[in-house]
Amino acid sequence: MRSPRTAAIVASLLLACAPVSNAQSWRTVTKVRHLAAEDQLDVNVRYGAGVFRLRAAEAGVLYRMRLRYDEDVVEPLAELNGNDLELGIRGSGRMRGWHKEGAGELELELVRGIPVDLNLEIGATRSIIDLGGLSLTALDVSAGASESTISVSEPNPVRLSDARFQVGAVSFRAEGLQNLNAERIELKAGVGEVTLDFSGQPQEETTVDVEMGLGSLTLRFPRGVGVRIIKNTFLASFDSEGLLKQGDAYLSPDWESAPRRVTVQVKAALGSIDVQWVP
Amino acid sequence: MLRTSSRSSLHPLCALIAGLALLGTPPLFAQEHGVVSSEIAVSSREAALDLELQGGRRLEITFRDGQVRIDGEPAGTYTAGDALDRSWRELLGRAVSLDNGPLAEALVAWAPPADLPAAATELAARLDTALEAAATAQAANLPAVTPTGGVTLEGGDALRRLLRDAARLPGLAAALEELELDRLRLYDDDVTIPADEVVESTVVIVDGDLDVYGTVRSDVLAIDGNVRLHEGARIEGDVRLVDGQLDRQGGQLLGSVRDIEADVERVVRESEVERRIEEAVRRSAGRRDAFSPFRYIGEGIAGIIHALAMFAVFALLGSGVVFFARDKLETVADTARHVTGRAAGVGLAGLFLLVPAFILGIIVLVVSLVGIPLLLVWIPLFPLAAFAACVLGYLGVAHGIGEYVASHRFEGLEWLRRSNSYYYMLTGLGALLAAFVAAQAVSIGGPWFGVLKGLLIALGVFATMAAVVIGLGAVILSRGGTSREFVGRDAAGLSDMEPGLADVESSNA
Repeated sequence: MRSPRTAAIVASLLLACAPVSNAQSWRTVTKVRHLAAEDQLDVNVRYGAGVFRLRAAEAGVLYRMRLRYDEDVVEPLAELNGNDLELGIRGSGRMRGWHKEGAGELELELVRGIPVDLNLEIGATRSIIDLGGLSLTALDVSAGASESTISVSEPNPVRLSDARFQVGAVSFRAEGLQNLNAERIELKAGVGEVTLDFSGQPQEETTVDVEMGLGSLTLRFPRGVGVRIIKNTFLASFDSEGLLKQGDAYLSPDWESAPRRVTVQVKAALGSIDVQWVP
Repeated sequence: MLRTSSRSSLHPLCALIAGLALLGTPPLFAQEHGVVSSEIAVSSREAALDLELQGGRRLEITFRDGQVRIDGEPAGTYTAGDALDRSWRELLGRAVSLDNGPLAEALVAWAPPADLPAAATELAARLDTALEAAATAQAANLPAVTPTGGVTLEGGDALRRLLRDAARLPGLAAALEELELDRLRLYDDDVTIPADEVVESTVVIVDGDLDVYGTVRSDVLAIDGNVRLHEGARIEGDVRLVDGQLDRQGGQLLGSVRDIEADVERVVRESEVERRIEEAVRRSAGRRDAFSPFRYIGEGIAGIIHALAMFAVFALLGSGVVFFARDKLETVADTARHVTGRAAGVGLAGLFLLVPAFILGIIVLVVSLVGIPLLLVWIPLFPLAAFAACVLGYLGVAHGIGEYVASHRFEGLEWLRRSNSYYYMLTGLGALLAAFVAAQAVSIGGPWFGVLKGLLIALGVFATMAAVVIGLGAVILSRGGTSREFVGRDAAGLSDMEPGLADVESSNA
């Protein structure tokens, strides 16, 4: 080379051309397993990045998984051991060079009609999850930096003891939460915009614990449900539309007489809490 | 008693329906549970099918990198995109959305393409055999079944034939959907149900007309034929028509009429639209995912041009200020240089107080009543004055930076040393915007430099914000460049220059 500067320029150009020879290898896999003798299932879903969709499968199908992924980086995970079902992706150990995971996609359908303990670990993704049609006996959702929408379009036919949601920096929306048929719902959110919609088939008594760092929390209740909100906030505004303050709690006027009641305990540092009533 | 013209053999479609009716009846057709799990993998290099069958049997067919393997064993070769590869991928494309029974049907129905070269024919035949053997393994052991209506099917071969036919009749599955198939009467000729007859079963008629005078308690399916409902007749279920019509000449229909053919056409149309949309999205995603160095080069160059355009605008503005108000600009620049910390503090406070001051001004003018007309001036001019102060401050800082660069010996920048206010302005603006230009320049290198680009942009934003804050403070401290209280007439700014440069500065002043 004529000079170090020239050498550096040539090296930079070579580096710029490198990805042409290091293209991603996208692969689409569809896995379907039919229901056999399983009468209960512990399902763990792990998905790092991309778009994630979940819903109930048609009758007779244990799971249906359609995964689009870079086979140089990850590989599909679908293992059934007894009643333990692992689905999603795992590292292939062949990662090399620059990698963009964002274009991956996982569409998952899970068995309906048998009790399921569901554990979702989803990373930086956009998630569209419909839990309607599943028979959930336990639910644990961990979402990283993501935009997640969880809906429960049909009532859960079995009683769910605990539903836990842990979300990071997100836009998180949960709709039809009463359809979860849960005794207790727990939400821990870092930074973001969280909406909890308690529509659905009303339950006698539901307790909800919400811990939020920084962000806005919107609570949507159907009219006719007794609501009690106990808040422990630092610098969070609270729009208590339709609620009466009584001690540390805010109650809906029909709290004492309401046959269906929701208690929400909110701990929030900074942000806003809004209450909305829906028909 | 039903009256029908007799034939020695049943219409093939009729037999097919009987076969499908059997397929739809779980206890009679073990294939319903023949496929335990399926895996279909498709990429640019590969198209693979992996079936787990009941009894632990597996079938794995892989097209990958020019090699075809059946159950892991090399079976032959192919060329990407050739007729066999295309046909195989087409099959997998269909199979991916199918469940157990329909999946088996699709696998059995697959036939090698006709235009294969001789070398590939043998391989295609092996594939066909493997698929059929796997998909019909369970059915081969079925006992003979005699459904109502006199149709007899024996053994797996008959079913295989029927399944092949089924694949050629799209819409038949839709026609049979939700029909009561446990009790079935099949006809392949004209049939009359007399007035005194009550038929409990589902009536299926193919290639013939049905005249109903009596009662049908279930559904009626007519394929390539018409249904005539006469006076006094009664059909308690639905009437489904494939290429046929319902002729009501009285009588009673409790269910609904469905034109299956129209439904099928609609579904096919919708599927086609969906397929095209998915294809377009996939192509679009593919384009978006693909790495293109030219894209980064193009975006980088566009970014550089954008930054240079910003520089040109500020340079024009700065030159105007130098020309019309050089004294004030230099006072602001000197103030910023010599009481930088104080200017920063005042500027920060000024930024925070801008909005309250604006609102307070409005309130005072309103409360004073006599000041209300002044609102017409205050409301538009205050924001304008604040913006002008920020711009003047920014340009003053740029000027000050230019002076600083000129007064020091920086290697490679000697040509800037002997200058005037215009050069100071250009130099200072260049310094303030350099980080933005550098960020766009490094982005040409590709996505690896994303972090560096981000850092440089952050540096540029920080420099701009600092210049605005310090500049605004200097504008406030110097009363808009009219007071040299914080600088002094013979400021150190001149004294720390070299003598020659100080002369130039003095002459400019």
